[in-house]
Amino acid sequence: MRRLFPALALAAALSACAPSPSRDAALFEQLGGMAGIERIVLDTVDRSVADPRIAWSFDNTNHNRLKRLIAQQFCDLSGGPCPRRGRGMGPAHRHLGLKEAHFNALVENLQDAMDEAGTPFRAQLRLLRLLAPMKREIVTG
Amino acid sequence: MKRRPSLASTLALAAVELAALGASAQQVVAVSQKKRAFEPREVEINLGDSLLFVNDDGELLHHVHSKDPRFPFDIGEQPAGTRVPVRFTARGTFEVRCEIHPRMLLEVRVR
Repeated sequence: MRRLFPALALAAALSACAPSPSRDAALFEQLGGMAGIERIVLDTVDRSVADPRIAWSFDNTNHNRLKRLIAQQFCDLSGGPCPRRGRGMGPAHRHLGLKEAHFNALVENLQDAMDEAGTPFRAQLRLLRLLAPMKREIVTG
Repeated sequence: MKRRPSLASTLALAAVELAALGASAQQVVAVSQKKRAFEPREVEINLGDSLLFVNDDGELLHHVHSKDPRFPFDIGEQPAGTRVPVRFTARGTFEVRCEIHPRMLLEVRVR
């Protein structure tokens, strides 16, 4: 599987994401529908919780709830039949003081999870493109 | 001639006054949620008293609940800056937790 470094993948995604990317129903199918998304999200969170670079940021957090919310978010972003909810990324992350390296570590884990799930490379990039604008709200450190 | 109140009416009046006194004696105790922890972490109240759950934790969302079958409750997701009262109508010691932050634990003893 071809692989971009997280920072490079995000840079490519960010450079391509103005104006804001629209929802794309085909991407939902390419990610394997809801079952595929749940598999990717579960794997991403499990990898991140075990990742010494960012494990601390998942401390005192309900992992099952987090997985459910992220899966719903990916479902919505990729054009799936999930309601948009939540308060935005800023309020949920600002207290953590996350740095760019932390964000990149999470993206790396997401890429590994998508590789493991057999997600097509183009679909990976498209999902990263949709997620990239959130970096501005998440990285505050 | 001045009529004296009957014993029954006197007792009824006393009961109403006692009930009113009981109602006014009920306390409301504030419990803060700060830095992903309850403050205080233990509280003792009387039956019928209320806890006022205050989310003063910056921008963080909390979700207070108790799964104790003797007194289950769930106030739902509570945005920062809001206050939600819960009246305790059962005696015992109860664990109150936050659904979002599993290490948040409040012990409530209801006398």
